[in-house]
Amino acid sequence: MDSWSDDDDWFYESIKRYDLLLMFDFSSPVKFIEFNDLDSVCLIFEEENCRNEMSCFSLPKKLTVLREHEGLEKDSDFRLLSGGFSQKSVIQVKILKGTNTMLASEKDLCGLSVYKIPSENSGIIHHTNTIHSELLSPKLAHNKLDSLAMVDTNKKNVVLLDTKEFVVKGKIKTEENEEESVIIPEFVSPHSLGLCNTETGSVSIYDTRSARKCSMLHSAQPFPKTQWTLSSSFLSTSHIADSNDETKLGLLSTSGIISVLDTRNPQHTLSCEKGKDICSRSAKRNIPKIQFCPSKFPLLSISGFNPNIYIYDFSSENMKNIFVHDGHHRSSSTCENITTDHVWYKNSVMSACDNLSVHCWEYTR
Amino acid sequence: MVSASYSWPIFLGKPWFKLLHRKFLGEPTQFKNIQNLPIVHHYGYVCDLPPGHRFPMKKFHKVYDFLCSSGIVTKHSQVIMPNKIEKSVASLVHTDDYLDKFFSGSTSTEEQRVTGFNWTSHLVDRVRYESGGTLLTTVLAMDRGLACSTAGGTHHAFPERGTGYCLLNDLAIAAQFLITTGKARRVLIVDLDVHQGDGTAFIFKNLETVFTFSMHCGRNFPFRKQESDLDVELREGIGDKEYMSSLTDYLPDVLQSFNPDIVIYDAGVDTHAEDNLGKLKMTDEGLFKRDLFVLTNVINRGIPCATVIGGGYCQDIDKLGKRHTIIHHAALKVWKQKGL
Repeated sequence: MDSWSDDDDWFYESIKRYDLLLMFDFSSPVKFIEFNDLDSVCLIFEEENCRNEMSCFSLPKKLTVLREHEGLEKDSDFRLLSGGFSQKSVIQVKILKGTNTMLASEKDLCGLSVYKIPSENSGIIHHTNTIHSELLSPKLAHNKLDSLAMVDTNKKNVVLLDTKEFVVKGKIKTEENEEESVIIPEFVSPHSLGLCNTETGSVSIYDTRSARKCSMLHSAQPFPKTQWTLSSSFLSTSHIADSNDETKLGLLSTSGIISVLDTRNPQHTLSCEKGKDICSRSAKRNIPKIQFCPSKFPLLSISGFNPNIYIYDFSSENMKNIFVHDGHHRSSSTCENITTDHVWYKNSVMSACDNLSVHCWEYTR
Repeated sequence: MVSASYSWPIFLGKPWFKLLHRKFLGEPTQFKNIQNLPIVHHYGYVCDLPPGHRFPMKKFHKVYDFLCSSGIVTKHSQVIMPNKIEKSVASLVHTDDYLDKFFSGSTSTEEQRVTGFNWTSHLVDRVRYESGGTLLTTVLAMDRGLACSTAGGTHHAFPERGTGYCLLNDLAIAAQFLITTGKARRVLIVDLDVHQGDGTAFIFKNLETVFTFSMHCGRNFPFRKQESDLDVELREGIGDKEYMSSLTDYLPDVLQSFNPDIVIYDAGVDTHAEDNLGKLKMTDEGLFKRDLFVLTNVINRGIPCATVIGGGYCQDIDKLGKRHTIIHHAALKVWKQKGL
């Protein structure tokens, strides 16, 4: 037998570590992953010539079938359904499930670009119209029903868009007053919008029906020269999830600090991790990502620090790292490679790295 | 289609652990999953043009949409996307100086004017996708016997310049690539676009391993013709019957005498009576018979065939898109008849 390379060792070990592992290479790095529906996913690639290529693929059957039937399935391919290009460089996208509509916040655009993901008889994702607003390249949050929050990260204005009629249905004037702070939004329940101050990690919760502030949550401890991001367990509940928990809020800093808070008891931090296991972030990347697992297990995942995805158990006060997906790091890669996005699909994770790789995987529990 | 470059292999008594690396074109993991007639298509074949521009850019999307809606194409199992052609491959045919200028946007106003396009970075992308598509189609044809692109046929481009809506000569690049890499020893380019393939003729005038056959209208652009290995000039206004008579006279003999390893077929529909630029009077039925004749004669001899859609100019984009799918209909018929 030939001597094993490091790559071969990793693959050999992967049989024990993973219940599912599919690895793909694309010709461009994937910037965003957004599921369209149960069976398809949209991949937005890194921009080239001031626009992003967008492709909609059907998911491999090995990923979508019940895990106990996965061995019966041969299909492990993404199959291209449609594709197109954005009008400008994409900042963020949200897909309105069940409508084949993609909303994109783009660079230097006041408002949103609307794209239609076609049905069977066409192959083109095309730009249909622009929703104009005073918000320049806004950050987006969707409540999975009929509301999209658009936030001007610098001016702290929030506009609520009705995603059925595409009309503005409300505005929120925030109480953020630090001049230098940037805020990013995320819904924590269908009518509660969290606005995270990226400098301090504090989160203000606003009721979108009354446009009033309901509560405020703080991160575990302030930390200088870091930026914060958030996610909520509400976002991970869906028709493909087992979990109905809509009460958890996760905060992640660029220094690797993770906090899980309960929105019902905002003064108490449920679980925390100091981030000592994570390499220091490369300066070139934007704020990293935190996601809650949609299953019943108290798990969350983080990415954006290096080529790895980290999974944590937050069932106790001291959060525990229980798995590291290090498959994106190949012997030919460098330590400078960074994961660009990751999302949960049932108990599996789809992750992308700037070394052109996209993986679908489920670790062995 | 994007195939897993790794998933747990079937154990055959001994474990195999191999990571299949993607190469520029050689994406074997994609090829193996293509079933039925391979169709090469990329949504990047289209770029925005100024309103009222004469070139019917949107036809490439229409071609694909009609193929999907008519059931010719099953997206999941037939369509394969090309990569953009690399400069190193384009330089097999084009000068480095021209490629540097074209890729970077340094072509002069006059150089751009004769192409019919103003330079944009998106134009470069679409040209690279289109050329990559033709190249991939030829490689697929060598593998499967028959393959079709939903674009291609930019035969007016010369090594150092573009002209007549053509910026890179995709037919020439593909042919030269096949020869240089040893995939084919002899390549026949059958160009039935209404315009002479002058760029292709010039590029291969001294190369015996590539035979250029162009049947075109003598009164159409370019008015200063180059010399193909075989030029058949048709008089203005001829219809299906006379056209087929000429084709029948020449094509079988060329195939017989040159005996190529592959035929690259430019199935331009600008020979149609309704074409804005072409001066011939063919019908849809005549085009279908033409394409069927070419494909049958080629495939019957066991020669692989790669098709591109070539030229077509019509105000009615839907009609034009549908017309360009005639070659795909013919190809599917031959595919089924021959049990490829």
